Amino acid sequence: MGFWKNILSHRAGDLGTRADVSIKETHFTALDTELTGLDKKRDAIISIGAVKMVGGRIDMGKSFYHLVNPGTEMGKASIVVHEITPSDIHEKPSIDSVIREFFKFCSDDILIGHFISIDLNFLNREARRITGRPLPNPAIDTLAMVDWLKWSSHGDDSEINPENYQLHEIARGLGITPEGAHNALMDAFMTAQVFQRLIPRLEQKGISTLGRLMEVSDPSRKLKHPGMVI
Amino acid sequence: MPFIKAMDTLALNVLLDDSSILSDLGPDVIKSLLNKASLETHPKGSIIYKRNGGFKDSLRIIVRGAVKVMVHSEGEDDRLVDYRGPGDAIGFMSISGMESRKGDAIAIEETTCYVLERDTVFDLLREKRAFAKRFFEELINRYISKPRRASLKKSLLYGGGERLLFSTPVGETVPRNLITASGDMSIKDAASVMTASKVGSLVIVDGLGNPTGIITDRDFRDRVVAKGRSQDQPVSNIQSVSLVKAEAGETCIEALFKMLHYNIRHILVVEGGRLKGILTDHDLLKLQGTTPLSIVQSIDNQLRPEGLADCAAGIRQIIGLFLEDGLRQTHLLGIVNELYDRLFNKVLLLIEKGLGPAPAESCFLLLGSAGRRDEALLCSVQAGILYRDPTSPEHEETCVRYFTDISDRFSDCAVKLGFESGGAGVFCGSVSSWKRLFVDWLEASNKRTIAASLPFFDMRVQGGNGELKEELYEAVYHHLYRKTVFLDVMASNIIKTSPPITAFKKFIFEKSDPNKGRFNLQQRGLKPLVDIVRFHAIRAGVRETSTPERLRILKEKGSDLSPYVDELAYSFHFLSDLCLQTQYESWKKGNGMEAWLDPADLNKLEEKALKQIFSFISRLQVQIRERHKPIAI
Repeated sequence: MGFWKNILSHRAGDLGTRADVSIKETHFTALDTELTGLDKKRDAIISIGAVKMVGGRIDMGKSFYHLVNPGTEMGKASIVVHEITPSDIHEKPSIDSVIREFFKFCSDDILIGHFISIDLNFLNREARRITGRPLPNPAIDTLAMVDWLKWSSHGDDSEINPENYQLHEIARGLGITPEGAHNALMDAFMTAQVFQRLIPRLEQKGISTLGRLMEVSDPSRKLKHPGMVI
Repeated sequence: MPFIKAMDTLALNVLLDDSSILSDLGPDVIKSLLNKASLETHPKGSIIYKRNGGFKDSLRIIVRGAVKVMVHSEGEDDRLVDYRGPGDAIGFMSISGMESRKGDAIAIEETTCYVLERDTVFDLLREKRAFAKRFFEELINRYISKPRRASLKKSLLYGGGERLLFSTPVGETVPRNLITASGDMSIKDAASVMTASKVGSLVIVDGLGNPTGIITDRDFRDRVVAKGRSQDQPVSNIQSVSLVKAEAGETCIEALFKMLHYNIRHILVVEGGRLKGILTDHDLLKLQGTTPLSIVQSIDNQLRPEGLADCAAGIRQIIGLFLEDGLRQTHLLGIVNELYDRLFNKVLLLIEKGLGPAPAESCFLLLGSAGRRDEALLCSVQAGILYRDPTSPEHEETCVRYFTDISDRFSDCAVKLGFESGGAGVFCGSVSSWKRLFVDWLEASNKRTIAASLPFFDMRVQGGNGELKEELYEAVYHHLYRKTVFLDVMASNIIKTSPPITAFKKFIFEKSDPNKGRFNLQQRGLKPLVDIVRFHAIRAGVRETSTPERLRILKEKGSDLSPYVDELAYSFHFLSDLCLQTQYESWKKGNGMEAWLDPADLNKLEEKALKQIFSFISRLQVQIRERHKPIAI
């Protein structure tokens, strides 16, 4: 229960004066992390991947991908899921330097992730430890977005009617084919592509400013379809 | 950043497999290129770019989806001129600065594309010759299939572009007579020299004949008219001094790079230190071959009717290229009709410009096949001019003189553009005289008048006030329904030409040379069908002129023909396609555009379908004969 409580109590950063800015002009960083497990106390980040977007445009030249030496024992499960072995990690930089570089990369962008609460839990834990405060960036969640679109279109949009809320299932529905290795960078790229295709659909529903976007994709928003597998 | 490395498969699969323009680049180059690209997805139906605006400086390579390019026609709906799919690039012409966007690009389905900025593309063009070669080849060959390219090598303007662009030295492309002027010549005199020599630019030279600057027609607009400058000033005040040169031995492609790089439209060609001529972007565009958009551009740019001959030839060329790409007449009609429309509009515009404003309200009509808009390879153009009744005998004289002049010039021009005049020339007259013409035909109701009237029932307004035509039609139809014998005679007349097939489903051939063993598909297959549909349309008061449209409305109205409409539509498309193919083959061999078909050229399936269609048309003719008592004429 503690895990869920943590997720739901997470507060996204403040939007400040940007609520009326159009989505098309907003700078985003789509991110994904790979973790040794989901336990916030015991587990650690093993890689961070991110790509930059301006509105719906993905900037192919600006990406971030670093493997991290987590300093903890990696579970066998992680090896299976992420295809990262302990020897891959061993020589990698420590989380401190990677996190600092990542914060620089994000600048003051809006962060996008799929079920981003989990990533933020770990990123904020490290941020607090290193800088004394959590990431200041506002964050939005593609999962919440899809959930809201599915609800508001009453299942009429066949491309937004996934069987479950897993990133790859949602991407498949939107016609995005998974390419390349399964890692944090490719998942961040996939998240960006999902977001890219959701923007026009959101616009159709009258959501074109950052403020409105935050309302429907707040990571702490209660899902409209709570029974879906995440 | 290792992003591109991580997405090797994505990037390389997509770009190497689908995009031939990038296929000569190594994986490393592709990776560095992708590092500079961004990825966009456009929802179905959205506008990727609009004509003349927005997103000017980028090239898009389609990864997934499809895009259509539409051009805008004054007062009408936008028309389709091109399709692009995965691997194709959009936006080249405008990033090159050579022309502004002529059309809107619209996503037909959800479309994902890589976006490369202008600078990135230019760097690549300069640094990677293999890419440059591919790139231009792609643009040139988009509409030119391989076998055709081989046969078109002779043609300078159309299709030979690839060879010319890469191997022709600029020295061979520049016009022989270079026009120069000294810097102290007045702006006014320079303008006269340019007009007299029909050139768009003038090189300013010093006493030794060395170039010191250049003036272009654009400078007159931007630096004289717009600035309110006196025309007595010396041209040196308005000349541009950045003189970019190309050696006469350089290839056109190298000259094109320079023009792209410096964003200029003229380049000086020098040989042995001496000035040889000027090469314009227009000269190079001409070498680039034919695309629907380049024809639109070329039509827009013409200043004299004669200049449109190349455009008309270009339209025929496009038809051939589309046909060899496997496109059917139904698909290419939209594109081709749009080009014809622009062509005829431009002809009229240029003629009118030469004659001054019309003395009465008028409308220009296209008749027969041009009016029906259902033939892609238009052989002849029949036209008419309808003007409001003159107010006095003097006014009438002025009108007759003015409109006869227009019609004569149009006929002349049509012939120069490669169309047959259609025999009758351009009928021109006031609304009253047109009414009289129809009434005479209706009253006479004989074989000759029926034959003469048929193309007039296919009239379509090409320009001017369409109300005049409506007024005429009201009167004609009013008279027609009181004079039913006209329709009976028309019925017995149109069934005289029967399809070339016997009751035992054997083809009937010409018996004598030069077309022995063949039959004219247009005259004996398509025409009877078009006649039947027109006849029913007139009877039912359907004013549309294209055969498919007439059929659609006849079906809606539930006319006698309704049960056969679908089959007729299928037959029409089948015959049109076959006819077009036959005409095109004949035209290509230099035998004119007649559709003499040798059924031995058909496969078994086509032969069977054709026989069935002919028999079907014969049956409909019998039906007409039974319903409209034959009248001896």
